[in-house]
Formats: sequence, structure tokens, C-alpha cells
Amino acid sequence: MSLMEMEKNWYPLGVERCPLGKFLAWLGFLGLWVLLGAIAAGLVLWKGIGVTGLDNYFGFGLWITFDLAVIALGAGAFFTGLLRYIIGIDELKNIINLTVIKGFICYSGAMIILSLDVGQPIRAWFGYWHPNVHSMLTEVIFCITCYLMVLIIEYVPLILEQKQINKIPFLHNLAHQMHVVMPLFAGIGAFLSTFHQGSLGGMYGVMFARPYAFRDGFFIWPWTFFLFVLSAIASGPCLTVLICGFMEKLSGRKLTTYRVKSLMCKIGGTMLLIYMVFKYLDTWAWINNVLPRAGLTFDQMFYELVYGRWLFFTELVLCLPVPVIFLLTPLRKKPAFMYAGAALSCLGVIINRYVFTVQALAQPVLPFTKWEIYTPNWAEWTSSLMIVAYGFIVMSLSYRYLPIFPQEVGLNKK
Amino acid sequence: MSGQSTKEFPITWGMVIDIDKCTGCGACMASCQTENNINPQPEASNKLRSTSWMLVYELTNDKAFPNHDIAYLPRPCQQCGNPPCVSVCPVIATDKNEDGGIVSQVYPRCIGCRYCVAACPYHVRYFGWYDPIWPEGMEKVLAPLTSVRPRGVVEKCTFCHHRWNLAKDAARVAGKNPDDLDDGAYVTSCVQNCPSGALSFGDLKNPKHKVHELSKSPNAFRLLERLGTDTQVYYISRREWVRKLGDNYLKSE
Amino acid sequence: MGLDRRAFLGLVAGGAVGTMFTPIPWKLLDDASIWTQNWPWIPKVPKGQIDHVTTTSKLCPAGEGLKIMRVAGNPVTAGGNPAHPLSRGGVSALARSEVYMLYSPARIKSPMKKSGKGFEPITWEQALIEMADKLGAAKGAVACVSGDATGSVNELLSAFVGKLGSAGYFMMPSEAQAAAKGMKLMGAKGQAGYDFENADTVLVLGADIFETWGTSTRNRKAFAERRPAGQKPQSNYVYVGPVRNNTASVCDQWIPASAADLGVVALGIAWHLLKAGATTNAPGFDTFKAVVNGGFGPEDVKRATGIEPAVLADLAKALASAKAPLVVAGSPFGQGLGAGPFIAGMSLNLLLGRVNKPGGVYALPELATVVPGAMTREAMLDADLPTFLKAVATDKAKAPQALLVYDANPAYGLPETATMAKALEKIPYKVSFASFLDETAAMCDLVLPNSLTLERYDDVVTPYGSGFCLYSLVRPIQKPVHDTRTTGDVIFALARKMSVDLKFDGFLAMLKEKVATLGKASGGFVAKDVMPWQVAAGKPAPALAAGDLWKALEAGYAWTMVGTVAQTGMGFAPDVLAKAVKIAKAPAKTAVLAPYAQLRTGTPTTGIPCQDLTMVPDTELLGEATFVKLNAETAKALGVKKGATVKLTGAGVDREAKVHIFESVMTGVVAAPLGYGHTAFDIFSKGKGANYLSLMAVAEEPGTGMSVWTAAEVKIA
Ligand SMILES: Nc1nc2c(c(=O)[nH]1)N[C@H]1C(S)=C(S)[C@@H](COP(=O)(O)OP(=O)(O)OC[C@H]3O[C@@H](n4cnc5c(=O)[nH]c(N)nc54)[C@H](O)[C@@H]3O)O[C@H]1N2
Ligand SMILES: Nc1nc2c(c(=O)[nH]1)N[C@H]1C(S)=C(S)[C@@H](COP(=O)(O)OP(=O)(O)OC[C@H]3O[C@@H](n4cnc5c(=O)[nH]c(N)nc54)[C@H](O)[C@@H]3O)O[C@H]1N2
Ligand code: SF4
Ligand code: SF4
Ligand code: SF4
Ligand code: SF4
Ligand code: SF4
Ligand SMILES: [Mo]
Repeated sequence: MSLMEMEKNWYPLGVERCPLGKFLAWLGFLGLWVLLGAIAAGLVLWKGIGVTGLDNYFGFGLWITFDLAVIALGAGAFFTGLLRYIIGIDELKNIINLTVIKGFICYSGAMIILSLDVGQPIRAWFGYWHPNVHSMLTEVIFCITCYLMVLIIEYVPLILEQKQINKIPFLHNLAHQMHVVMPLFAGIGAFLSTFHQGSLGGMYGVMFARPYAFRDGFFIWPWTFFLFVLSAIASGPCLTVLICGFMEKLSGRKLTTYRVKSLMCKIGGTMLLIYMVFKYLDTWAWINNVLPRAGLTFDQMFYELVYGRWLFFTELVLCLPVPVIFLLTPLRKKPAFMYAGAALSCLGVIINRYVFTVQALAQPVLPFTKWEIYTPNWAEWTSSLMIVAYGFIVMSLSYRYLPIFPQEVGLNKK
Repeated sequence: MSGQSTKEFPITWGMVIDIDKCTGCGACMASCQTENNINPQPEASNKLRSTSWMLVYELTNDKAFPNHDIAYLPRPCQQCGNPPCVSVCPVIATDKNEDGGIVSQVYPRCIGCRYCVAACPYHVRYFGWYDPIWPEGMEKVLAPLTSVRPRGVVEKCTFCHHRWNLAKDAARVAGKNPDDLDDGAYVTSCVQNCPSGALSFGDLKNPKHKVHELSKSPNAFRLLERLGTDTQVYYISRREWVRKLGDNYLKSE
Repeated sequence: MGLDRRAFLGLVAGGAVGTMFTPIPWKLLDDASIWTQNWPWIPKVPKGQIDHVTTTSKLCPAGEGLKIMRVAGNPVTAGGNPAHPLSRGGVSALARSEVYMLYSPARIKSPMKKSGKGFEPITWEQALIEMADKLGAAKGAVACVSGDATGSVNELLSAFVGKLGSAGYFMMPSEAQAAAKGMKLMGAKGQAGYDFENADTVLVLGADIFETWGTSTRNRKAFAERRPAGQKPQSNYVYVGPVRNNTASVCDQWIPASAADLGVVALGIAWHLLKAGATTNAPGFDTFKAVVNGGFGPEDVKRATGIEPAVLADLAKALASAKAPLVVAGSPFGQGLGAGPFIAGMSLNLLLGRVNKPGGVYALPELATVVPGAMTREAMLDADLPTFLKAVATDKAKAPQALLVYDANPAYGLPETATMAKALEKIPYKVSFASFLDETAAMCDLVLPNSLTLERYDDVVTPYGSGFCLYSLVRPIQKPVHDTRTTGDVIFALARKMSVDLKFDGFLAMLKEKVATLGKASGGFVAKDVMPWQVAAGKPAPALAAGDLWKALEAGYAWTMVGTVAQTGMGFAPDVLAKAVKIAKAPAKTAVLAPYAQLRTGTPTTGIPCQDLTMVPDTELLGEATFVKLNAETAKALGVKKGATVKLTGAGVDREAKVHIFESVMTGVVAAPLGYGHTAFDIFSKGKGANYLSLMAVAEEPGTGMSVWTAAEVKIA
């Protein structure tokens, strides 16, 4: 049997995949991006973070924005898990595997970037050994690492279900056992995720000397805690749908029904609506309370084009009410609106994470300082793109060899 | 404002900076650099990357010639009573936990996440972007009391904490009470060397110390007071425009 | 195989738990944390006994007494010596560098001889042999340039050069020069000294008294003392100059005026004082009055300088009504001022009756020389180096056959730098006694590294500006880091080789003799519990325990003396004033260049001290470009924009600069930082910005013949 033939035995039952050569070329292309990013990462670890465009004003930059965005968009995993296993929306089983893999990619990718971003990665475990229980970041460290383990536990049975691997009785059994306890992990995952999404928002909201980001709140949690959770669970499902749609386009095969995607979008849209209400209230309170208390005005929060008002309006108008309408009205039946709505929802979250990370630091709090501009350099871009490429690789391999779409066979019968 | 509150200590080391006397010469920065083993930086004009625990800002009243005026504002760590940088640190590498109220920075503990850098509005915290390098041989003049930081950790002004230890040691040797130091027994390097006498240092709570009275001067102000950081550094200026630049004000105020 | 699922899981779990009970993971974790703080390439701080020793700064012209912290006998930091009258605990950014500059990459590590374009190291013995030979051949035409304004080593060098047949002994241009010339023309004797400690109203004409002028650290301490924090100031300082510089920034008032107009402003104030009835019987008063009334009335001054009559009237009133007013005139960048403005400023002191009075100006006597054949400081200051070198460059004067350069960098630190370098090139044999490889050393045939402050014996004798006579010892507190020697000793060795008798067999012996003469000067004392300004104000001077003087000096105390030279007719020199102080026409399409210097950028001989680069703001140096500052109105008139790179043209050369809009520069003036544009030294100095001194054309001051360059016209494009 030729290699080409043998490889076919590894496909999930009853599906077709592109020729191996084409697939390898695709992997090679992605591999180049990974290589480029790995060079940057190596340099960062060897020489120090000085090789990036970060500085003492922008201790947080592209990497943190990337991490936050990716973690928010990866939220589809825990939220869908919650709905599927805990709330019991059975239909989501058709897309749950995709959300798990997406979640795994997002979180493991964020971890890789984080290990570049901390100055002393060898000490990263100090977060466990000398934890500061008052720090939102401690919560983030705990929850993200734990949740990544949960995601691994959720991902492993998917791998074990691979046709050839599943032939081994022990692994078959293991996969089965793990499936049985999956609701438990979905529950733990949902708990952990809600917390760290919140804590990530909390990280900014507690910075009481940074009026751009500071928010009052409820008990120990600033409002950003809840807003980050809401925006994550609004955009997470939307990204899942976008990925699914993109994979369908790329492979030319139907992977789930429009109904499933539409349901995901409806869930995302609903969350987005709730988020919008709170975000508007929050923004109102920020402009009329937080800022005046600090002696600052709304106008002072913007600067030229880089930190202009257009970002504010794009985030709060173009990326909130517009996608809400697209996703919650009959417009959703039209793919163009559904995908556009999903995309805008994701874009809004990315802008949100960006302005909280960069604009919050660029805004001069000391009256005798001025706005500073941050530009990520090649090392940050390539290492971030490396994670994107890594995600594509994991997703491509998973799609090619793992039975992640239960509806695929049925939908593609000729 | 933050839900936290100021930690009180019986001894509260503080600095009072007379802006009207500061000529902006930079001797305080020079003193700090070498007292605290900051390596010389051949390219230090990128101010967002260079390290200077003490930084002298140039303030202006923003008027055109001839009504223009300038002032220099030296900025050490403000040793906030309610430090925005401390509660955020995930590993307690920075803390405000001892008498004197000096916000510590424990380099061997710091993981370099830079959250404290983001939280401090005074730009006091500096990250080690690269390993520190001294010209050949110059490491022989490293000062003995401040450890050299490897790259990847955050550092900042410590009010020359080591000098406090020395002062307490000296008091003990002299049979005096190390917890009731004389005014001037413990001063920082920048304060000691400033040729203009623009900087004063002492225990804000001790009426026998000059700074106690100075901090109550009608011309005294603190930076960003309304944010609730409750700093231990006071500034004095007779000029109203200088005092106003210490905080943000709405037009109506 | 016998491994079933249970057994496998058991093995994995058991193994994992078991490992936890071994030291392995804990040891690894502990090791990891140790690695992260003890990387071998991170230098360790020294350990050992900490102590403090004292000496005096030679790198910093302010002459601060230093308190050096040592660990296990090695110096680690330099602070101000609280017991020293020129420091009182303060230290400049430059004096702070005394310790680490021992290890500056720019240091010359051994004697070197020119070889092609570069240098090759030679031994001291070879160097002495070669020098004895060459200087012997050049007899009769040996010149010397010294940049040490305060050291007794000048006595030695001048005597040595004199015995070889001097072609000139030159000091690098300084404030002291204009003052010495001014005093001489006024018929006065002694060095002008300013009693800031006892003054209550100080009018500063141009001099950057809190940065580069004279005993700046002491000046600042005096200023600070009368300005207790949080209280009403007990003094009034007014600064007149083109830029609100470091000094002006803390003064109570800044009166913008071009450096070229300082004399005009002084005489304008004199007009008001005279009108209010000021009078004195000093020689030349009547002519002076006529000169002032004839051309320096309020409207004349307004036309020339733009200063409103009321401003000067108020100022005159403030001076006249003050208990202890003091007027100080100097160049905003420490050189290039003529004697005219100095005399104009001093005439105010005369009118106010402030000469040889507490809080006024003292005419300080010069200390006796000890080396036979040595020149006096007064004589040294009389020679005019720029004029001489310019004449050499243009073949109007014969070039010396040999030149000794001591602690000076004329190839960088003079105006019309290109002309000066050209003159230096014409001198066939040049020897540099530098500590750092500066621009001049790079041109020399022989470079004989001078040990640095902390490695040598030396002294500081009454720096210009000091209100009292002072002697402060410099003593070695460590062995030379490199193969360097104290130049004083090298000269003695050389003299022996050339059979030139200089009386002493070494520099230390010479200094000891110098100190011994101090004991004989009446009224001198060691400043310890009583400071000289207190004595000036009436406190009795402590007696001098002569035998202990050397010991006291070694312990970091300074010998001081409040004394004045007996004057026989110090007058106004009105004829000189009439010629030298002229109302100039304002330039039309050009701007006036107003250089400023700061101690943090070092001196021409030190380059930029490496730690001090961090102190330089990014509105002065950005990457490799330096900024010039001008106000918006000037920028508009010249058609230049914020941040633009422009070309400044003057003295036949051009230099690049970026534009920084700064409203504390007067209209029509371009302020430019000095201390940049080095082509020698190390990565901390070389290639950073431009040397704007090179744009300044040297002119001759009418009436005095001095070379002047305080306010050069430059074209900007
Ligand atoms: N003012 C001030 N005083 C301080 C400190 C401070 O910060 N400021 N720090 C304090 C601290 S934290 C410490 S740890 C101490 C350090 O003070 P010390 O404990 O005195 O440490 P070292 O100065 O390193 O001297 C240790 C000696 O042990 C010797 N030695 C090395 N290996 C061996 C060995 O295997 N066997 C034997 N017998 N001898 C060995 C070394 O040669 C050296 O002489 O200083 C304390 N004192
Ligand atoms: N290069 C070099 N490395 C060394 C050594 C050396 O001599 N040279 N010595 C080794 C030895 S023996 C030791 S003990 C270690 C010391 O290593 P470090 O602990 O790094 O020592 P320091 O630099 O003295 O102090 C570190 C920080 O602790 C803060 N601090 C001081 N007191 C307190 C406090 O009460 N609470 C808190 N939270 N912070 C405080 C100070 O402000 C300072 O910022 O270094 C070891 N590593
Ligand atoms: S040393 Fe003193 S005068 Fe100089 S910049 Fe610092 S505080 Fe100001
Ligand atoms: S000034 Fe900054 S670093 Fe210092 S205590 Fe305050 S917040 Fe922390
Ligand atoms: S950079 Fe260091 S000190 Fe700052 S928050 Fe992170 S671990 Fe704490
Ligand atoms: S107090 Fe000490 S550490 Fe802080 S700025 Fe001054 S010299 Fe530096
Ligand atoms: S100083 Fe070094 S050896 Fe001692 S505990 Fe710390 S890391 Fe370990
Ligand atoms: Mo220790």
C-alpha cells in the first residue's frame, strides 16, 4: 500500500479529504509562519524582551491584546460546553467539538505568547507558590492554567476517537470514560472560564490610577469583570461560526447545518444584546462619574488618529447594535448578514481589548506628560502570527483526521 | 476610590521637593544611577526605554514668549500610601508591608509581568529589557548595597532603602533608638547630593523632622491626589500654575 | 503483555506521587529560582568593609570636595563632602562621575605614540626619551595649552616651558579670563570673587551661575540657604540673558537680552542708579557718567534690547535699596565674553559700593608661587589662545615647534573649531597629557595619560567665582587603574632628563611646599566649624594650626582665607567701556546663536560622562541628532518647523540640528547645547549631535583687543 493510500485510512469514516500533496503544501506554508515566529520567539528568550516594540509606557502591547482577544474569542468553548452539557441544548453537539478545539488552540496559543511576554518565564510558577490573592492576575494565572488542562482533557477524547487510535481497546475505553465525565469538566471549565474572563476585565478595572480603564463595581469586582465575561460569551460563539463557515468554504464540504450555526449566532447575538445594555450603562457612568472624579473629560481620552474617537464609535456603534440587529432579527437567515454580524461582534471585542490594553496606557494621566504612541514591531507580529498559523495547523490536522463534525457524512451524501 | 485604603505606619518616610529651587541639573538622577547600580545607557534618548529611577520632568505654563515659564519636577517613586502597583502584583514581588511605608520591590520574586508598570500612573517602574551591561571594568565600582538586577524584572526607586538599614545600624552602635532616628540620619542619595537643596527627606509623622512641617505648607501639593494614591512625596511651589499641574482639573474647578 | 489498564494507570499515578516524595522536583524548582537570580553574566556587587574617604573633584570645574564611598578599599561612589565649602554635601552630575569614569572606555590606558593614523603603545621610559629629544630640538619655540583653571600644576608647566624657551603659555578660554582682563583695565588687582552667601539681591548678567559658571555647586548651596523650603525667599535673584536657562529657571525674574547686549543692560541700569544720585570717588566716575548719560538712557536701551524702561528702573531701585546687592557678569556658556560686559557689570558694583564688602565682590589675592620661574595666574590668563591660534592658522604668526597640551582639548573646545584645528596641525610636534582620548589627543604625536582625580595628588586653588581664597587637596585613594601617571611627576622626570632645574624632585614635594606657604599667609584658616563667608560677615577667623595643615587638607577640609588685595585706584575704565560696550544693530534675516553648556554633558576634556546620557532630555539629543531651541515667533520668521532638521551656518561651516520650539528663548535667538558632536572619546560621546561652538566666529573686542564670541550670527536653512 502506498503512503497516499495508507494516509486515507486515518480519515474519519465516510469522508473525503484533499490530496495529501496539497495538504502537505498547506502545512508547509503554515510551517513557514511558525518558523518565522519561532525565530522571533527564540530571539526574545535569548536576548530579552528588548527585541520587541514594548517599552516602559507600554508594558502591555500587541501580545496582551492578542492574548485577551484570543481568550475572549476562545470563550465559545466553555460557553457552548455549558449550554450543551449543563443547560442541555442538545443540538450544539454538532458543533461542540469544533468549539473545544478552537478553545484549545486559543488558550494554548495565549499561553505560548504569555511565556514570551513575562520577563522571567522560569519563575512563572511563582504565581502558584507566592500567590497574591488580591491580584486579578493571580486569578487569571490560576484559572487559565487550570482551564487549559480542562481543555486538554476535553480535547484528548477527540483525539482518541481517531479511527486508528480508537482500535486500541484501552484508549477506546479511556475515551469512553472521559466522555462520560465530560459534563463535570464542562462545568469546571465554565466556572474557571467565567472567572478568568472576568478577572481579565478586572485587571483593567482595578487600575484606579488609570482613569481610562478604571471602573467601580460590585463588591471586589469592577464592572469590567462582568463586561469582559459578557463580551466573551457573545463573541465566542460567533467566532466558532465564522471558523466553521471558513472551513466549509475552504474544504468545499458542508460540516454543520445552517440551523446549528444560526442557533450559535442567535445565542451570541442575545449575549451581545445583554452586553450592549450593560456596556452602554458602563460607558455612561465612566463619562459622567469616573472621569470627572479624576478631573478628566471624555475628550481627553482620545488623541489624533491612532487613539481617535473612531475606535470608540466603531466599537460601541458599528460593532454592537449593528450585529445585534443582524443576529437577532430574521436578517440572520441570510448568510451575508449572519456572517457579517458574527464578524462585527468579534471585531468589537478585539477593539475593546486593544483600547483597554494600549489606549489605557497611552492616555497621559500626569498632566505634564503627553500621549505616547506604541507600534508593535516585527518580533511581536511574527510571534503572534505564529500562533495563528499554529491554530490553522492544529485545526487542519484535526479536521483531516478526527471525526469532529457528526453531520459531515450526512450532509455531504451525493 | 479603589475600595482599598491607605496603610498606616508609625514611621512614614517621605520626600518634600521644592520645585522653585530645582534647576533641573540632573545631579539627583546621576546620584541615583550609580547608588543603585543602573548600568550606563549609550542610547538613552528613547525615554520610554531608558531607566532612571529618578526622572526630572520639565514643566511649562504653555504660554508664548515672554510670558512662558518653566519648572523642573524631580520624580522618584511616590511611595503611595495606597499604591496602585501593589495589589495588582500576582506574586507579591512588590509590597507595602513594613514600617516607613516604602513600597518594596523584590527582584528575585518578580516574574516580569509588568502589570505594576501598567498600574503606576507616575511612570516610576522600569523593566529590564536586556541584561545590564557595564563597560569593561566598570562593574568594579558597583555600589555594594543594591543588588544588580537581571533582565526581565521590574525595578524602581526604593528611597535608597539600604541607607535606612545603615542608619539603623549606626543608631544601634551609637546606643540610640533605631526606630526614632534623628532628622538627617537617613537620607537618600539624591537628596544628599542635590546641590540646590531642593530635596528634603525624613519621617513625615515625626514632628522633629523638617519634612513633617514642610508637607503641611500651604504651597505643598502631591501628584494626582484626587486619584487617592496618597503619596509620600510632596512638592512645594509658590507658583500656582506649577501646583495646578500636579493634578487634573475640570474647567469648572 | 501483562500490563492491563489498571496496572498502567497505577504505575503512572504511583510514579507521579512517588516522585513528589523524592527531593528531585523540589531541588529542580529551587535550582530554577536560583538560576533566575544568579546568572553568571550578571555582575555581582562587591562585598567588604564600607568606608568613606575625601578628596576634591578635578573633573568638575566647580571644584567640589568629594566624599568617596569605598568597599574593601575600592571607591564605588562619589558624593559631596558636607565639610567642604565648595560642596557642602552637594555634587554635580559631573563630579558624581569621578569614580566610574576611572573605567570609562575612552580612557587612555598607556603612553602611546602616533603611528600612521592610529597609535601604538610605548613605555613611559621610551616616551620620556623621545620627548626629551624632541623638546630639546624645539627649544625656544615650545608652547603649552592648559585646561586646568585651578591647579598648581600650571606653575610647574609654565616654569618648565619657560625654561625651554616659551612660545606662549595659554589657558583654555574661561570666565576667569574676561574677569582678569577687566580687573586689569579697571586698574584693579586680584581675582574677582563673589560673596553669594552674604548677598541678598543678586543681578546675574548672563553668567550661568547655577550650572557652569565658577563655583556653581557652592553658588547653589548659597542660593538654597536663603531660600528655605516652604518659606518666603530671603533673597532676590534676577537673571539677564537670552535664554531662561537652568540658572534663570529658579531666579525670581528673567529679563531676556542677547548676550551681546549684557554690557548695554548694565550701563542702562547704571543710568537709573546715577539718576537716583549714586556717586563714588572711584577714578573715572565723571567720564563714566558722561558715557552712560550719552548713550545708555532708557530709550536707547529699549531700542537696542527691547527692555522696557520701567523694568530697568525697578531693577535699579531693587539694587539700590537692597542691603547687600551683588552684580555678576559672565558668559551664558562660560567663555567668549569680553572684558567690556565684565567692566560694565563691575561698574554697577562700584556704584553700589559693593567692592570688598560682605555680600559683594572681593578682589582676592593670588597665592604665592613655589616653582622658580613660574608664571602667576594673572599672567597666564592674559594670553589669548583663540587669537594666537587664528594667527597661526592664517600664517600671521609663526607656529610653535612643539606644543604641550595639558588637560585641554583645543581641537574641540574652542570657537571656530575648524580654524583652531588647522592651526594645531601646523605645529610639528604635539604632546597630550589627557586622561581620555579626546579630539586633541587624537591629533598628537605622543599621548601621555594623566592619572585621574582619584589616582593622583593635585590641588584646587581658588576657582574663579569663589568669594574667598581657597586651597583644596586632591589625593590618590587608589592605584592607577591603567598605566597612567600624574603629569606633574612626568614633567619633573622629563626636566631631570633634560637637565632643567625645577627645584623639586617630585610633584608631591612641590604640593607640600605650596601648602607650607599657605601657613604663612595671614588670615588663612581651615574651614571646619567656621566657614569663610561667616568670617566675611564678621565672625572672627579661627587660627591656623600650621603643623596640621597637610593633615587637615588630606582629611578633606579646605584651607580658606577671606582677604583682599590692597587696591590703588580701582576705577571705571570709561574709555574702554565707551569703545567696548556698543549698541549693536539687530540682524535681519539671521538669528543670534546662544550656546548653553551643562555639567551633565561634561567638559571638552571629559566628553559626556557615560551615566549622564540618561539625564539628557530627548528635546536636546535624540539618537544622533541634537536640537536647537527657538521660540515660535523666531521659527516663523525663519520659516522653520518643529522637529525639522535644519542647517546652521556660521564661521564658514555648517552644522545640522533639529528644531525644538521652546518659548523660554528670546525672539531672534537660537539656543544650542554644547558638549555634543565629539569625533573622539567612546560610544557615550562620539557621533552624538553636533558641536555648535564651531559656528561661532571669533571677533576682536574694540577697546580691549580680546577675542570675543558670545553671540554669533548664524544662518538657518
Ligand atoms: N550593612 C549590611 N550588612 C549586612 C547585609 C547588608 O545588606 N547590609 N547583608 C547581610 C547578609 S544578607 C548576609 S548573608 C551577610 C553576609 O556576610 P557573611 O556571612 O560574612 O558573608 P561573606 O561576606 O560572603 O563571607 C563569608 C566568608 O566565608 C568564607 N567561605 C566561603 N566558603 C567557605 C567554606 O566552605 N567554608 C568556610 N569555613 N568558609 C567559607 C569566605 O571566604 C568569606 O570569608 O551580611 C549581612 N550583613
Ligand atoms: N549580585 C549579588 N547578588 C547577591 C548577593 C550579592 O552580594 N551580590 N548576595 C546574595 C545574598 S547573601 C542575599 S541575602 C540576596 C539579597 O537579595 P535581594 O533580596 O535582592 O537584596 P536587596 O537588594 O538588598 O533587597 C531587595 C529588595 O527588598 C526590599 N526590601 C527591603 N526590606 C524589605 C522588607 O522588609 N519587605 C519587603 N517586602 N521588601 C523589602 C528592598 O527595597 C529591595 O528592593 O542577594 C544574593 N545575591
Ligand atoms: S539635583 Fe536637585 S536641582 Fe538638580 S535636578 Fe535634582 S532636584 Fe533638581
Ligand atoms: S509611584 Fe508608582 S511604583 Fe511608586 S508606589 Fe506609587 S504606584 Fe507604586
Ligand atoms: S512585574 Fe514583577 S513586581 Fe510587577 S506585577 Fe509583575 S511580578 Fe509583580
Ligand atoms: S531615593 Fe534613592 S532610589 Fe529613590 S530616586 Fe533617590 S537615589 Fe534613587
Ligand atoms: S541568595 Fe541565592 S543561594 Fe541564597 S537563597 Fe537566594 S537564590 Fe538561594
Ligand atoms: Mo544574605
